[in-house]
Amino acid sequence: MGDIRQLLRSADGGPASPPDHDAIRRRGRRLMAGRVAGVAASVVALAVLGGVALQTLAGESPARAPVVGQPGDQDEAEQPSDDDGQGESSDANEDWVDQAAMEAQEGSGQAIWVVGYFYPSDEDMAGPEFADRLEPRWKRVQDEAADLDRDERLGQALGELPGPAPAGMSNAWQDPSLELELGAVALDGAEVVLDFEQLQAPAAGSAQAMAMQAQFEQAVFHYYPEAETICVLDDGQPAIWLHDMAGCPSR
Amino acid sequence: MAARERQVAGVRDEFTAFCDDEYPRLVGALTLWCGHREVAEEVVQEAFARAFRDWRRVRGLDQPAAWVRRVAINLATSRFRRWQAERRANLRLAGRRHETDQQPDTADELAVRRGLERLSEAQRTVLVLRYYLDLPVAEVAAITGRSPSAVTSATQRAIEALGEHVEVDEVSDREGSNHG
Repeated sequence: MGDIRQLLRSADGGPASPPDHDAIRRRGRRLMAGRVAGVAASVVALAVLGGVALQTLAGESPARAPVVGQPGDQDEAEQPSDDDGQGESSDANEDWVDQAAMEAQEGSGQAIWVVGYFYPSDEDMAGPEFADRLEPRWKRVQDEAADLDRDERLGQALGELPGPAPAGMSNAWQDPSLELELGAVALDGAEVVLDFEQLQAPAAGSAQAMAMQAQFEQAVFHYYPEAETICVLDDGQPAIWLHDMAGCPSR
Repeated sequence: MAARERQVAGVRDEFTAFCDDEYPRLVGALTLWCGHREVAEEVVQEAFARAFRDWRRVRGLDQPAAWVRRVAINLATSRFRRWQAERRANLRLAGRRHETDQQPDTADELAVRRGLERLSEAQRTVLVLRYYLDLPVAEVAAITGRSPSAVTSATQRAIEALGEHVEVDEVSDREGSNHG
């Protein structure tokens, strides 16, 4: 017989090694660098694949995506400093994504406006950029059609959200024309990808769309506090691409 | 030392202390949860790296520890992330296999681990959060996204299931006292 707490403690593998602070800081800095590269990658995808292949319902009212790391975006005094002197060794620094990130930062120092998520055409899928970089990512998102308990709960939360609509706005979730069937959720890096089997998205920039976005953010942040961006798919195809969770009001 | 440098150093020390306080217990919890110390270390290190990245925001939360716990659990429950972590952990393990000198596990410890392995993911999660990290039901509910009553019943079922593999005393479901 044993006390449950004692039993668990006896089986925890013994005392853990102390944290490797240098490694944590290096990984943290890599994540910061990746965030820059990630935003830039979207911009490059827009440029590389061309406007024809890029679809977004939110394209007429693009979400603002500040580039982390640009002057004024990070307060150094409130960020733990990296004193290991080794700098960054991000994988993202090795290729054209990093190049794009650098150019983006060196350009004007202004925030980048990302206008949407890419959805490649057949021609783009045959191109080298897609095969090398974008296809694996795209497939990973699709393959991660999650059956996790948490995702089911998020689906329920999204479906059940009564959500107080902002003043003067209709509540997207109470509109019977919106048939929300959450088919899959995936966490790809810091992106939460919601794939609805049926989603009749409201017109971009409409009050209904804004209400929907606010409630997406609220629900996703609850279940995925580490999320930075949200991509909303309609049966596997991009419907709404929401950015910058860090700046959303519900956070 | 300039005021700004002192401020930077203070924040750095604050993050270091946060890691020192929370990292070992979280590694223990994730070790129980996934059955592999190396995988647990990998996941927990990633969670703290994210805390480092977002420290400006995380440090302002009421409970930064709750944030990092939730992120760690999220990472662990993501199959893709877990697969990645296992792969990296295997590489790390291969690199230091000759350095380890672990004591053999006792029969009781093995029985507990085997019992945990046979629990569902959800049962293992609530059990570890509730009785290893000693978190109150409300925080377990917040982390897992369940209602407090669902957490209580899932915990009870988990104990019963574990009891099929190892003898467990009757649990007095007192609230945990160590919840940061």
